Amino acid sequence: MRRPLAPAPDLTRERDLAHDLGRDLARDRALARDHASALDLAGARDRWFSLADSPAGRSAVPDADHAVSAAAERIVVNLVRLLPVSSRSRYREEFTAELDELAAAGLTRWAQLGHAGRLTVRIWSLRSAIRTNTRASTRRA
Amino acid sequence: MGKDAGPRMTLPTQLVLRAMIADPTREMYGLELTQAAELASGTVHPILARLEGCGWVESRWEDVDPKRAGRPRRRYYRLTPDGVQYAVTALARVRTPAPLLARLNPGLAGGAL
Repeated sequence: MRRPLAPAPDLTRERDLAHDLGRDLARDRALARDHASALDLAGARDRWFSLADSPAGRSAVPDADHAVSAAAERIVVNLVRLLPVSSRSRYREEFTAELDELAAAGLTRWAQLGHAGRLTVRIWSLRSAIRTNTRASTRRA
Repeated sequence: MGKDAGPRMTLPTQLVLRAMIADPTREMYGLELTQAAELASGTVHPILARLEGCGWVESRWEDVDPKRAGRPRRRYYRLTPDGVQYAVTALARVRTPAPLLARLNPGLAGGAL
């Protein structure tokens, strides 16, 4: 009489091990993805600092891959219209210089848009500070 | 808001001042200061405008020709001599828990002052 087939205990253990290994691999892959994005960020930061340290080392002609985002620049140019007239040209130049620095540091157009977005969020606070300063200097005069 | 009144010492203001006090003679531009203070971009400009209005900070344009340099000029900021004194006093007076500062900016916590 033939006995019914049952999985050998060793095979069961191997299957469980393979299952665990698969789970570990998935976790490792997720970790590797996190590390890769962290390294990307660190690389962009390094490029940013090396450029900031040696302004003379920069190319006078912007690299096509590292161009300033036209949309971010448009946001910034329109944004300064919310500021008092006397401060507009100053902050337009200052903000576009920042976008240029970020582009030169290799930040993507999306990252530049993010920067423009954060400037937008703070523009009312800047406007309030400038107006307070203007009022104070008028009082002093 | 005069020199005596001083700015409101919010946490971001403290971080900006600590970053500037770390080397009071050094001029820094907006993005550089944002990095040093580890703040979100855009946060420093209102703070710098207030500090400038109080006379704690002075600013100037970078001395380059934008056409030759191929990029716009930077605006450099620095603490005034009076500003250094006021900032040191103001930072000594505020009571921000050291662990909180350390969490926000480990480089500046307990360093500048």
